Amino acid sequence: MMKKFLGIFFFVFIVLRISAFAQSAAPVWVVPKEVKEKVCPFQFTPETVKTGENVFQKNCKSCHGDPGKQNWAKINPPPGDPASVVFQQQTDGEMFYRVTTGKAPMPQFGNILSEEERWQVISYIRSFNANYVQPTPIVKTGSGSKNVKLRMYCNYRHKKLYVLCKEIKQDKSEIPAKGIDIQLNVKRYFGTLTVGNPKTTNARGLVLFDFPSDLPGGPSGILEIMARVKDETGLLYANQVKARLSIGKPVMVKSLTDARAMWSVRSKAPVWLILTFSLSLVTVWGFIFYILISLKKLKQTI
Amino acid sequence: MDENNAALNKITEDLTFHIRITRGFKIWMGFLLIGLSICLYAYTLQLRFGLGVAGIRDYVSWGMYLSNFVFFVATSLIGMLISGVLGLIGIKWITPVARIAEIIAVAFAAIAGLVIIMDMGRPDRLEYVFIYGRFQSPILWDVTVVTTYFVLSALLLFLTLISDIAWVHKKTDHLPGWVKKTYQVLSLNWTDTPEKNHIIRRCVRILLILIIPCALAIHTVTSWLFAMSFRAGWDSTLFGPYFVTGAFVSGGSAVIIAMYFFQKNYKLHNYITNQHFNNMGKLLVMVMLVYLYFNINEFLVPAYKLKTAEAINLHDLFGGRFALMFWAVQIGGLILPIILMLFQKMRTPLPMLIISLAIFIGSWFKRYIIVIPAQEHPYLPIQYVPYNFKVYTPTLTEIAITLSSFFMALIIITLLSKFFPVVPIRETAVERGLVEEKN
Amino acid sequence: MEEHPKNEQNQTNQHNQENSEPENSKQASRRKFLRNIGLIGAGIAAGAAALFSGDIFEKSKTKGGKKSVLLTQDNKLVEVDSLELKALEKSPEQQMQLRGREGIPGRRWIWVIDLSRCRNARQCIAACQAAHHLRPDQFHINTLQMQENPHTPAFHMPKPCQHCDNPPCVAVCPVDATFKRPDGPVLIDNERCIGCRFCIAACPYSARMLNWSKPKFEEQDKDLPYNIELNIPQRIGTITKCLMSSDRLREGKLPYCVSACPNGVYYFGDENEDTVTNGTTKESVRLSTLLSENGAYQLLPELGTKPRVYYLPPKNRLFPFEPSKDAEPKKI
Repeated sequence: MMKKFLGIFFFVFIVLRISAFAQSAAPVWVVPKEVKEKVCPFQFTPETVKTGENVFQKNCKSCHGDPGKQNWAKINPPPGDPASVVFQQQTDGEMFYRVTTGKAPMPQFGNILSEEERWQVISYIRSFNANYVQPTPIVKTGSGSKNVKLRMYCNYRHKKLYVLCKEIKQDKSEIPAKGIDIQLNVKRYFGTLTVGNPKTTNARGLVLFDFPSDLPGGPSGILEIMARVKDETGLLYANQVKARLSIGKPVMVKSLTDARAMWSVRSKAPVWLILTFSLSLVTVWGFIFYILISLKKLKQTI
Repeated sequence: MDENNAALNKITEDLTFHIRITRGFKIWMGFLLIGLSICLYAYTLQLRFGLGVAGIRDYVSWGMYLSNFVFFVATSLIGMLISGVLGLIGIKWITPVARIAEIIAVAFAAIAGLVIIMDMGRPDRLEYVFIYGRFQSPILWDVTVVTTYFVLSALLLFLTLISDIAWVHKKTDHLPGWVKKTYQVLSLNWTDTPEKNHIIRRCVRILLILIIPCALAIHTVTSWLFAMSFRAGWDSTLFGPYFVTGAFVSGGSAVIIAMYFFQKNYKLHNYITNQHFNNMGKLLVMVMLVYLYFNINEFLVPAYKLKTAEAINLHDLFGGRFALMFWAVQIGGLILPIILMLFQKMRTPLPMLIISLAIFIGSWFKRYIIVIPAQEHPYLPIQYVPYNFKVYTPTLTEIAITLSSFFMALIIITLLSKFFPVVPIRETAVERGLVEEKN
Repeated sequence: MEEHPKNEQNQTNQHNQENSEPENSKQASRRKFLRNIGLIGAGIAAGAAALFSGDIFEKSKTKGGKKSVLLTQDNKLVEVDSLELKALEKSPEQQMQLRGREGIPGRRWIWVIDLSRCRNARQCIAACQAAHHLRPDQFHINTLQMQENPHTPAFHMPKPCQHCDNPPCVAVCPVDATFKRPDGPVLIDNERCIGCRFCIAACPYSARMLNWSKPKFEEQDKDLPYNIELNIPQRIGTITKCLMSSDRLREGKLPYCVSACPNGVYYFGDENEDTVTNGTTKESVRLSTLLSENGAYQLLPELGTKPRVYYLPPKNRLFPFEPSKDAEPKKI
């Protein structure tokens, strides 16, 4: 009896210890120094805030609730409100790291959200902080850091795309940026498709891309194309320049279920089958009704 | 003339003799009803807890219920063979056997419909088959032909009974009033007039012609439930005729068993004679030889080639988990009976009863062997599931629910044979020249 | 022997009767003819009525008949069913049924599974079972341990429903409960399914299962409106199967299993865009390039089922094959 009691006591004690340990461990979430200083490679805009909000609603809201409303889920450790001071005190780099790596019960969003989406979420969270000033997005190239701007031109006939890259100097003047790696992307349903290999700008800040002639672009052939700067860390500048161009291969999309087939719905059954079935049924049952009526007649005749 | 009347009277007396409620009947019905209620209790368990009370799972998802369904459909086909085929080509000796075959056809077709409902995950949605039925699904075809065949068989049985019911009506004063009243209603005011006989004869003829394609359809379509699926062991173009001939085997044995009991219990020795057993034996040997031929085709062709998936299935049948059942069915239920029945001595009532019982039971297990092993070996391996998913073992509940179908069929057969003459009175009288066939 | 003369007699007798009353018989035959027509009519009516009533219901559920042309946000002209425009007036359940059967216009989902990367982490299975409220023995997707023969490599093969373009399971369904969607997936309507399990028998990939007993979350889910794209709530006695996470596709997200994979096994995308996106790395690649460069193949192509799932062979693996202890069902 005593032994059993002791056993229960011991068990309770261990459980208490474990939960205490978990609680005390919760606030400690060390972020490596080098990632603390990481900055978002693109400028936060109302557009990035909006896409970020969408991503947040689908992936973060279930635990963190609505920013500013303090309505996070009742779990341990508490997820906290992203609009709160504690959250906003973090650098962008710290936020990015925590979203990416996660910490149970928070999922690792590195496996779920693309890098761009994670930055967009941060841009959304920052929109609740009026005092926030975004660190200047910079491109790290071999020859140092630059603030650049892109422009895109299209030759529809030959399916060629030109991207012009200009560096913005401190005094807001623009000069052609040489030696910048530019990558071309096409928007797809689940992400962005890289077209060809990245190319480096020439002395005039120009790159020329031959656009593949066989990339499908829906019934109209319109594709959403983005040219982005790729810096030495491999990070992509999202939405540096974006355009909807009629440069894809027009593809008429046929529905998979148009034809009459054995596997189609009843209304699309093969005609011969409907006819054979109905005719046999009507014939046999016609005779059956005829016999039933004969029986009625049999009863009536004297 | 008086002699004639006396003979006619004797026949009527003999053939309606059993239409009385005896102690034996009460005990037998009591047994059937108690058995049935136990089995129906098992079914209420299935209704409450789902199909999971049976041993079927995601891989072997058609188990004993479905093989039992195939067996019932098969057995019901005998009505078409005896009344339809033999009747239409004018074979005379079938007169006392035809009605037995029709009773079996009606009982087994009716229960086949119920058996398939027992196999449904959602029997409460049965009406969906009629509301949303897809023309492309063999199940819609099956439901349609089984229903049609049941109606045709029931009509055929009833039409040939009408004149007899009128005779029975006169002879059964010992029965309660409401039974007599029912007879009167069912007899449709039948009198021996040319017009009435003409109507009946014409309707019967139509039915006999219709019932042949319909019976072929019902079992061919049932075989298509399997043959139209991607399973080694079912993927055969031979399945239609294979099933149809197999059906005659199980139905034929059922008729012989019934003949034996009717002859003994209803004292019909003068009507169901040894000659009938002899003839039925010959008929059975014939259909069994055809069935044997189809069996050889069905197993030898894939066994010669041993395609990967077929090979696994065949190894399981010939020497694996199902070997005992397979060889017992093939030898004890098919080859041995054929050999035995080649001897005239074996085609007498008692040996025929024993042989037929072996064939009947063998036929049931034959369906089991067609339905289950093929599902235990799908194209892709069965992994990460509990062992009972991989190997099918029927549960007690499942066996009880399956048994209920036999109780129900026996109840129908008992009632039909108890309250109606098993051997047609009028036709027997006509055959013996006691009644003139007036037209 | 005796049959013949009798038959002849029958016939002549009949003849005589008919001849003796020519007027009557003429009238009778006319009446008979009219009655026969009536009979056949009644037969057709009775047979058609049941089927037709179902059809009307079907149409009211899936088709409005009238189409309207609309301009979408991404400048595409699309035809939209007039009923869909009124979708807001419908109950959530009806809306979900409607869109669940119509699919996502203009899309054609395709799935590529890279066998060289699968290490049998079984995260896809866990995510799938959690999303669809399944029991541990119900596998919309399962990783099978495969080996063709002792000399060929053993590998782990994730096996979801192949979402065939010539689906044998859909062909045999008696009540339109399971159906092929215009954008690719084969779905199941568990409010229609009668539990006949013909589809299980017909599927060569063993991709379907039944709720043999009460579903795991029956109590918890019982008040939810039925979402045909998620098949929740699961219902006893009905089929459940892989749905390509149609609910996620609608939101622009990759399927549950695809996103959950830690090893980059899955690519998923729209065939019409010729692009698939890796669930782990989020990298998008050209579908045609991926298939041709890696020697892609399909499962049991000889059956003619035309699967929507491609496999990349298990070559150049970065890790050794580790057999799983739990693969073989064990006798208890």
